Amino acid sequence: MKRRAWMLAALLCAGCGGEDFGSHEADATAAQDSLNNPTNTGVELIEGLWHDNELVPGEGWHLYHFRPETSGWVSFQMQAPVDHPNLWSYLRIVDPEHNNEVWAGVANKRTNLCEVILHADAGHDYDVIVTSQENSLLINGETQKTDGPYTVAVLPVDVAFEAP
Amino acid sequence: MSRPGLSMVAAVLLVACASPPQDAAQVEASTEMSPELAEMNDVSVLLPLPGDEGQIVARVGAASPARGGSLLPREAYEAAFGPPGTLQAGGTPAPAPHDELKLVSFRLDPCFGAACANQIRLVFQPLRVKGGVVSAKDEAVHAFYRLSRDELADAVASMIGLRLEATEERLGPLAPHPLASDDARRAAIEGVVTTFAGAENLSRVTTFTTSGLGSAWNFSGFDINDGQAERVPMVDLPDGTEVVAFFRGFGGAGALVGDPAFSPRSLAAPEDNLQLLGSIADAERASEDERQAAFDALTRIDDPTIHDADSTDCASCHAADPVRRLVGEGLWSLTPSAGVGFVPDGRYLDVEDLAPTSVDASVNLHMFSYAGTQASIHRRTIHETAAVVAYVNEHVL
Repeated sequence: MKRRAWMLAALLCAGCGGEDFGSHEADATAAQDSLNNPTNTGVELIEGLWHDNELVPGEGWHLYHFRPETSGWVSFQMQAPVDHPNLWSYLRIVDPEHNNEVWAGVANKRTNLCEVILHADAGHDYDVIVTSQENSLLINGETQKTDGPYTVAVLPVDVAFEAP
Repeated sequence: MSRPGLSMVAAVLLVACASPPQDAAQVEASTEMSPELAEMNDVSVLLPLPGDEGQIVARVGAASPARGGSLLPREAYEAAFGPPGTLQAGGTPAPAPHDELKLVSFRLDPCFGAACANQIRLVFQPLRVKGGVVSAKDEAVHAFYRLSRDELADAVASMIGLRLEATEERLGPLAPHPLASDDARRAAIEGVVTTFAGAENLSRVTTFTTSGLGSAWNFSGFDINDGQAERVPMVDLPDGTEVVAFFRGFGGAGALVGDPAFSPRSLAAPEDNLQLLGSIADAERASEDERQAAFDALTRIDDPTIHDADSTDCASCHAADPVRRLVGEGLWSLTPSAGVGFVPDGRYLDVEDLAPTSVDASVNLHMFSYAGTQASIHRRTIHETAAVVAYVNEHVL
């Protein structure tokens, strides 16, 4: 199985992708989705534990941190209320050291669950950006309002790949 | 208190503890009980919810005067969990503010844990009024207090005395205390608590909180010694575990689809590990023998003669009831293997005393407290209480 540290599988997402910034020196966490001011929550996520929070207009996206104790596949998940009118879950996982990132936005609004799976390296720091994909600028220049509660977690994943 | 005169008959073993046996009349006919002996609701007391905001304020809470200080000293609470609003490991929620904690239940125990300690345990919850209805938030704080054997005997005797002042009828199975709907009697019961529990003998405080938008429950705890808080070691979990969680998944209130359901997973041996049944997907992937083994493990966890708080992790113990109802019995119609299961001592109980009075169709991890307005009493609590009744009647009173 060929594997790159930032190669991710994004599930349940309408749009998803990854990018190797190569020689770009920009801080990936600050360069993307930076409508309004980003908020560093200071929270260190631990595998299996769910953290609840709320997106508030004017706070921008929320930044979390994850440093796995062991190497392996993990699933980053964000869940927002399924009946929310405009808060659609969106995750961006950033590897600042290697300027790598991957993102996923929810596809199925009946679940409002967004998931990104990646192979994480023990002791390595990952930034976890949580926001709503409905945070674009409107025609009148205002930011679309996407406030509301959500929950986020990193979950262990048992996966097996077979070579074709 | 001297031991009441007894005319004991041979022990009657109540094999079926969840529902009355077919020959209940035969059991009753061979059982002799004095009203001066302890009953289920004497040693495990679930207070009825208050009726309005004023009654919430009037209830005994963490800050109420008690033995040697407040009932649950703020300093000890914050030494354990930090100042108000402090997130716990992994960003799990802060426990409820100290000011909001109200006493909802307590239990007297002559043999807690591996040390077989005399103890009184209290459960606090934040209560609120919503739409004119009082309910409890889906979280709880448990406080543990050391007692001497004489103190335990006095506390049990006090509860029996309060019952006998009101009635000589048996109070039946565990439920919101039948006599505590009367304000004066409830206050007297609360007085038993504040007499025997307080800052002077607090030994442990634990909490469970809810996250995952109501789909996950997080457990942690601290021992309290001389005002210092030291994290309770978590049995059968990896070293350094601060919080253990149960996640039901996002499949709705009555479905167990968390993947993984338990974090971190228990390291317990298979005969004591129910976690396979915590997730429908895991259970479906397992063999029939593996599911049966996990169900037997669950049944052992519900057996107070086998397991206690020092031999089972918090999440497994609190999740046992919904896992049994929703997965083991609900999906696979599992029953315990022959010889597996708690057998109460029938000398001190009517078979009706063991009947469940609160069956919740949702995932409810409250073993002896409230989820919203729903009184929740798990099978493990019924079994423990039955064992305590037998023990105190045999060895304490």
